[in-house]
Amino acid sequence: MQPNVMQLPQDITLLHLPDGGFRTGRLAAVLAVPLREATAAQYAILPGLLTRCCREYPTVTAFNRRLDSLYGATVQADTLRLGQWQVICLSISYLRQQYTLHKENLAQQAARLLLDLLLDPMQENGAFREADFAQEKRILLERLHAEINNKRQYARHQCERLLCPNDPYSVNPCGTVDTVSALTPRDAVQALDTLLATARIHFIYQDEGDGAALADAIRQRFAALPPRRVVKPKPADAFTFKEDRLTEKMPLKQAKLVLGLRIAATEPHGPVMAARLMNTLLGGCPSSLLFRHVREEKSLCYYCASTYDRFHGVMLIDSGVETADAGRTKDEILRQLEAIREGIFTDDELEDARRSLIQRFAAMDETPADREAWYLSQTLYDRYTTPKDTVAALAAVTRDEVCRAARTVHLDSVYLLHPEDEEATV
Amino acid sequence: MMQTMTHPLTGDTIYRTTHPSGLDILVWPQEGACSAYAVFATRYGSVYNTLPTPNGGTEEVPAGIAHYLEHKLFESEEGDAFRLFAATGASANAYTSFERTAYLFQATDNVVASLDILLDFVQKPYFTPETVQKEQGIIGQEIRMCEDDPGRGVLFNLLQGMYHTHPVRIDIAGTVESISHITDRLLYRCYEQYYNLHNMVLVVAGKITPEEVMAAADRHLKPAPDILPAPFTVDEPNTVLKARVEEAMPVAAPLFYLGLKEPVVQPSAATVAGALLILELVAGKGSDLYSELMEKQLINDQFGTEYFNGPGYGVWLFGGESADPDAVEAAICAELTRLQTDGVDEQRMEEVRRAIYGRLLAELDDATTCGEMLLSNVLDGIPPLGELDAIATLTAQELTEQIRRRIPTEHRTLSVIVPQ
Repeated sequence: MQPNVMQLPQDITLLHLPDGGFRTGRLAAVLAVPLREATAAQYAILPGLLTRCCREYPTVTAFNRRLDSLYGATVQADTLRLGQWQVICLSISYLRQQYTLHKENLAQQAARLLLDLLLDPMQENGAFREADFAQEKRILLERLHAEINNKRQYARHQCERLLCPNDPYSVNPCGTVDTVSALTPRDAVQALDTLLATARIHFIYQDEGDGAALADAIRQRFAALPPRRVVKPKPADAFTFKEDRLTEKMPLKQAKLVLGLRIAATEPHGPVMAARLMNTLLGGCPSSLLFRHVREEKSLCYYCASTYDRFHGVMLIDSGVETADAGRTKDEILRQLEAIREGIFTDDELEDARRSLIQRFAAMDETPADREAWYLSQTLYDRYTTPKDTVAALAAVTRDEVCRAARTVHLDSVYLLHPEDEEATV
Repeated sequence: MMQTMTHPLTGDTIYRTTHPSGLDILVWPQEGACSAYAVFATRYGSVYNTLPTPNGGTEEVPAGIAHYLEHKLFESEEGDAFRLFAATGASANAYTSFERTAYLFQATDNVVASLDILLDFVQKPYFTPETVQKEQGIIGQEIRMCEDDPGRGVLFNLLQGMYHTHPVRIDIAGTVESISHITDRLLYRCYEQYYNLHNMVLVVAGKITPEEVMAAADRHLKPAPDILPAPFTVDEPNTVLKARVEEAMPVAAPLFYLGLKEPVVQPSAATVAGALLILELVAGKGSDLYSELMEKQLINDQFGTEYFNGPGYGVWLFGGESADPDAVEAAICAELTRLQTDGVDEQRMEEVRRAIYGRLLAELDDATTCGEMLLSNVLDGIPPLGELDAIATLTAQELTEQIRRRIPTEHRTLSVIVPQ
């Protein structure tokens, strides 16, 4: 069933998803602003600042005890990169009435709390309190520094930076150590004001009823704000191929190889479904060509996987290997990509990939959090398709379309992180 | 004959039976679920590191063999099970922990066909010297990957500091050296010893009926001899081996785990529920301790707590990233001592009870969580969803008694990974 899309004043959209019969209800506020290196840090500090407390519950302990009293309701706060946008998402999940011990209806209280977090934060004299700000700045900085702890993730980020150095794709939506270090409490206040004044704002709601009471609450709370004007990102510059290669050393046991590729298939009008199927066939499931040939047949690695960012037209293929095997692994990956371009794969292999992707789409109705994630990315274009619709579109993708999608893929950058005492080239 | 249990708090009905083959089967059908989760598990994990010998003794097997067996079981003479699952569209996987090996799938469609594959391949071991040799490259890279993971390093260093002899101190995957001693014959012997249906459990939750599960079981399961492996025994003192363990790795800031060694307790619904409540009371986000550690900038949003247990071990875990792990250790121990002395505050206990009850119930929206929760209940020997009932009934006094009895603060180890 399609979500009920309600257009509210102040350019705000409320998506009410049909009842999935879950034990929990869920409400998310999704705010999107253009992703830019200069402003990413200012917005990135907001999710932490806004969800540590609010005016009514002014300390971390008071706020979390309020959540405890709402049957352990959970608040999540994220900063995401979606295409050219930086997305700030605050969500609250709570137990539905029939499952509480005394049949309390928590929906209204949870919605009020989420709106309070966004619109009635704990501020003094028009600014966030110094101590709150200092804590969240520290936590954000420590998160950025800790990127190096996860070597696979670190290597992927390094390849992204290599691939698109002047594009939002390479901008970390959490900011950088330098830009976060330079933040002041005044920056955070201004960022919140700008966010509320210029962001695309969507609410995604999942609970019983028609959502009218929530729509009223949102209408009332946003009526107090000055008139809003949504600011959109500038169109991305045309991509230029650089064919960069970078190796880096670290005290490690295993090398991390990442291939950065461009593909001519982007949202909202490109042949995205064929590209998704092609990516799954190449390296997106256990029956994929990379899993079977690079891992199972050649025993080169434990993982060799391909991911596709449909908003940017970027594919990353990564694998953990012995340094000496990096070149061989890269060649084998490219050989499998070439096989798809040439149509050298069986119908069974294609259908296995299709079934794997269908399963993944269908499972997006599994929990309220999954459903929220499904519709969150669709808020960028305000075109809403259900997992079922998407499965139908996937079923129509032909073998030729898959080969054509592969022919638009070009290797651009190769990154290798390897142990200090070994020499490597890629 | 299937037993049915309708849970008064959730309204769900869970079905349980012992199949004539000897397999314990639990089914949790959920109306409106979009997928099913099935897990076929054996009570065999990395801590079971011996095999009986013909003369009545035991012999030690190479570290990592349970995990190696998990990898190899996916392979048959005709090909690998992933290919079969690919034909049904199910998302299949497996994992090995300290006390169990589990084979699983999640499927939105063709659930029965996927169940057929699961029940079939787990019962058909096929190992040859060549296929065993081939896997060494793959698992060797998995081990290398884990060796670079500081989160894993800080945990296994902790267990090596906490335990003198218990095999929980050995890495589940073993080492590149230890797995080089694994042979097809050894794998067969481990399989024969631990993969007896009487030693195994099947749990299916979500979009499925008990009738469908029983029909699949009847198609694939043959009666197994009623022989169970000898009970796990270990000679492990209550004390820890080392109070502090430290290693340097490429990390941004020190990572730490503080582990407190629980005297061996028989799991019950009250102990499982007690662990959830205690950790929330001591260091949950609503606790004074959490607020104090944050204000002093001693922890960040990576801080977390966990309790895990198995045959002959139980660990209370507090961990995260900190510039001063020793100060965090001191603060946690002081708070535990305070609770042991003063007892649990009744009002706070009610807040935490409500929060844990709500969070546990909220997790049951996911068929995978439901399946794994039931499996843990069975392996712990407690009634299905027993912890939910216990959360509702445990008193502050009982919880205080658990904190005094189960968390000896003097038996603790601090494991730290420092920046290299």
